[in-house]
Amino acid sequence: MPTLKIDDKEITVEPGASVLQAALANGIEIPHYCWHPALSVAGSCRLCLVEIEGSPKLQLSCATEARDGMIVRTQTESVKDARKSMLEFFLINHPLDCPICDKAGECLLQDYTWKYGTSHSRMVEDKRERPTKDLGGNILLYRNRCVLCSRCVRFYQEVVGDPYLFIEHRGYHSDISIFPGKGLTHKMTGNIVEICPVGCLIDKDFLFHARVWNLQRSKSVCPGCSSGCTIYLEHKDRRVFRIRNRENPAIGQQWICDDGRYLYHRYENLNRPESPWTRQAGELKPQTWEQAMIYAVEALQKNPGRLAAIGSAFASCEENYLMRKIFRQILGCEYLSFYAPAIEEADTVYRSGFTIRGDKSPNRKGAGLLLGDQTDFYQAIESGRITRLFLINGDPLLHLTLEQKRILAKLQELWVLDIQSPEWDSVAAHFWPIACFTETQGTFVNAVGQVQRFQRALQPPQGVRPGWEVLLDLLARLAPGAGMLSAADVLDALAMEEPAWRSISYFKLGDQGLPIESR
Amino acid sequence: MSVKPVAYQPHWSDRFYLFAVLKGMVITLKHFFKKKYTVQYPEVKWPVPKGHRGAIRLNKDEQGRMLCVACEMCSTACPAKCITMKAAVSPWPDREKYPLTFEINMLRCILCGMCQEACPEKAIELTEIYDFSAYTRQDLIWDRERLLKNYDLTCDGRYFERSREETGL
Amino acid sequence: MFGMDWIDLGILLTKVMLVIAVNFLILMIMELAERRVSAFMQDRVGPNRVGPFGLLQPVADGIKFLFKEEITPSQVERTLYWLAPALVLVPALLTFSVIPFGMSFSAFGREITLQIADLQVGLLFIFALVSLAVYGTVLGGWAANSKYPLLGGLRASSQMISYELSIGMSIIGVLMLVGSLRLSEVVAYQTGSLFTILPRWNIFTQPLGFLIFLIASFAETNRLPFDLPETEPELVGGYHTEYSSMKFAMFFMGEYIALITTSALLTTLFLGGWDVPWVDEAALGSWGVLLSLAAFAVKTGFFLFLFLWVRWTLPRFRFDQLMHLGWKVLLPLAIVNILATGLFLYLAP
Ligand code: SF4
Ligand code: SF4
Ligand code: SF4
Ligand code: SF4
Ligand code: FES
Repeated sequence: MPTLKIDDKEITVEPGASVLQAALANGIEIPHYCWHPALSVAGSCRLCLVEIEGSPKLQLSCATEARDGMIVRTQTESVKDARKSMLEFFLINHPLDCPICDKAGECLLQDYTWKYGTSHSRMVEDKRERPTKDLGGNILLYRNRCVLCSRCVRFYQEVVGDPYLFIEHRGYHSDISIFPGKGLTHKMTGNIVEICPVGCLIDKDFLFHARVWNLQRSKSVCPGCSSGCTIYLEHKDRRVFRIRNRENPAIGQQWICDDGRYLYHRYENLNRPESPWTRQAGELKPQTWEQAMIYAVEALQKNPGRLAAIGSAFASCEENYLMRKIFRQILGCEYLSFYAPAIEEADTVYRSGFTIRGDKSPNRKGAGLLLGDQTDFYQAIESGRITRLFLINGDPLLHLTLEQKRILAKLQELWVLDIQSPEWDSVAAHFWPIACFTETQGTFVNAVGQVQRFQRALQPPQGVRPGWEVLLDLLARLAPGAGMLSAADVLDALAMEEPAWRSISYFKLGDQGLPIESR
Repeated sequence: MSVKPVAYQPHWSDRFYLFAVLKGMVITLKHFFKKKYTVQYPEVKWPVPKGHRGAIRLNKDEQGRMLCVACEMCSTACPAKCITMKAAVSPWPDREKYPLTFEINMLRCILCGMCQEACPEKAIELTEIYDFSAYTRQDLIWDRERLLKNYDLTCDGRYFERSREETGL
Repeated sequence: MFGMDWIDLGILLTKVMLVIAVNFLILMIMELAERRVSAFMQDRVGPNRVGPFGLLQPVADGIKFLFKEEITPSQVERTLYWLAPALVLVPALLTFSVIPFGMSFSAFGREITLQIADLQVGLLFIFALVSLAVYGTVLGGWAANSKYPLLGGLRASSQMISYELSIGMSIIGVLMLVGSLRLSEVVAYQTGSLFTILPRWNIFTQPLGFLIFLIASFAETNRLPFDLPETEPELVGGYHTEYSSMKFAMFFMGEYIALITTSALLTTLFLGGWDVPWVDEAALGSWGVLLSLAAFAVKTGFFLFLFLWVRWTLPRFRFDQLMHLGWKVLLPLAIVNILATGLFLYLAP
């Protein structure tokens, strides 16, 4: 393994790594635009120049392989000078409209100019002006701001495998462009906004909605499909403004798809009641949680033989586990299953291996492990095996067919815990509003068996409680002394009971999660 | 320079009090007949010196459009965190962004002028208006229109003169 | 009863009503004057909004006092708490009953004195009442059952005792000269002239007594520089801290009425009462009566202004300074004054 010296620091790296990688991995910053860990080396921005002993000119650190005994300097006068000049070049036609640029605050041109550049420009000629272009989908191209790093171009070539974008013209006239008649209309567009080092590619979905430094980040997991890509929920003032990729090498997903990126809209404007309601003489009467609980504790204990409990592939492992605990262990129900949407499409695999799954639920695996196989409970209702049902959902897209509603109407009593009520207004006997995924916390098990934690970003609205908290409350009333107080306690209890979850806890899960032990 | 401490040695007439008291009373009596400095406030407004940091205004350009581009520099700089805005795509061709709503909570504002310092567009400024009390809290949460009105009131620099003309004093 | 008939009674009642009305009128004027004078002395203009020149300000204040929330703290000793303001106001008003405020004249076939009651022991009566007034302050402070009022009340009592002595002693000189406690005689003594140019006012024959009386009366009326019982910086509001609305206003009024009475008393004792110097009022008939009334008003007015003037000139004394002044300066001086007067009377009868 080659050992080299960068700025008097001894560094040992994997064979084949570049000087830039060696430096970055050891906390030495070398400014760079075109190099991106997931993309090929382009060597086009020429900002990563360093001084290497023995070579007469400055070298591109991104394109130079780290060799044994190399002596690299990143802070010499000539390097600083080169950076300064390069940055001056980047800025000759740059509009410097940071005040209205959505990238400001996380822009590498800002950061590098601040750190390494000059504070004034020698450009006296008029700046070149190019109109902004709509690339289709959610993407806007502010051509004036481009630094021509070609990250976006290479992303399409190498990750998507479809060269949508290219650099038109050469030299001074170079311009990012799209083939005539084509628009960015597939599911990976949002990623180029993230990898663009400057504010050239802008997301219409976020356009002018907030300044990035005002947003708070919560680590979460995308509930859009069973890949379970890790994400950041970026929020402010009780509202999610955007979702960003949170890279997780452990699951091999380096990007997120547009379905996931814009999925937070599904959780906006939910039609949710402010308190539980119950059906009395055909009318929906609001209840306090206390009333709802007291009634449920009494009613559930009566005749559990024909009572069934249905978990959900949209509920966290904690919630599904609590369902099992309450209904199987405490009440002794026989029929336990879970809801998951039908799989209607095949997985989409991109060139880099990034996969969008056809299974559009985040926790089918976890629910299956905890509640057994998915069975058709509608049939069981039809046959009279189930007369009362306790159901938790969380799927914002759930839609009941007329047939399903007809069957559900046969039930003597139906409890529903869901994030919105309209679907259930005509069938449920009791509705308990629970928090949606941005407002609660828990774990999902993705398609490859990685247990990942998602954290709460927003506060649930008044009167709405997280599902796990509601179930924990119910459990404590049915069987006092369970000793669980938080979602973390629930996961601990789950880990004690289920061998597959052995030794998993919130603390150990960290940011990347842990695989469940295969049977 | 060395300082020599001197103990206070009251003159015998001071110790007798009465003369000192009379002296004091003569002084107050003189003031009794002197010119009065009171400004009859609501009718007459004391013109503050230049650079006074009073009520905030949002500036307009020659065409009467607000200059603000909703960059949120002011709200970021504001130590009292009293500026909130919602940006949107602007309706004018010569700029992209403008504030759809712009709100300053004057209950919180400490009139420090940081917003004015931070603004890249010279769109927000503190004015000489100091009399902006209100009867409800809501009245002190100023929206875009209120802030633009402040500009109309003060743009010609004749705010105090005008108020004097209006009251005829 | 007392040999009175209906006309006598009517005249008496008229006088009583008149005195009370005039007192309250002056009180209102004082309320405004206090603010206007202080403002003028500080180069301000003071309240000038309500009515012409702010003349209706006292009315506005009165209305405001009436409509203020009436708060009775829960821990107070109720009876005394309610009684105290009245105890301040009533004696102060009563004092005026023995002060002659004009020359007597005849109407309805009888002699009418411009004085409600010409008691033989007028001066003693006044002292009795003045000592009574302090009860209002002390009891108010005590009954409120709160620390600041209590301290204020304590201060009031010790201050009153100290200064009442000086006041009493300072007047003895006057009594020795006049030879009567009857106030009408005190006034009568002062008509005429001294060394032909000076009016024969006691201020000229008893300058030291006058000075002592004047200083002590500041303390008696709780005025700055001796308003220790209600010092705002240390005692919040002193004895009236826990009072609000009309009850507070009564303390307030009592204080001003006491001020008016004291001024009238000073006039009567030392400035010749209603006497107009170098003029024989009796010879002018009814004009003389009016003149005497005017003279009395002007002299009293001067003292009232003096009280304001001093208040807005001098800072407040410390409590120990106050005691020092009362016991170690004023009292010995008063005794010296008595001795000197005695010597004078002995040598030059
Ligand atoms: S791309 Fe960066 S430097 Fe350019 S305007 Fe946007 S924030 Fe500013
Ligand atoms: S659009 Fe952005 S990513 Fe693409 S070349 Fe320009 S600066 Fe680079
Ligand atoms: S003056 Fe200061 S406190 Fe007020 S809005 Fe501006 S920055 Fe904020
Ligand atoms: S800093 Fe200026 S341009 Fe930016 S939002 Fe504030 S007022 Fe508008
Ligand atoms: S990062 Fe090396 S040339 Fe761009």
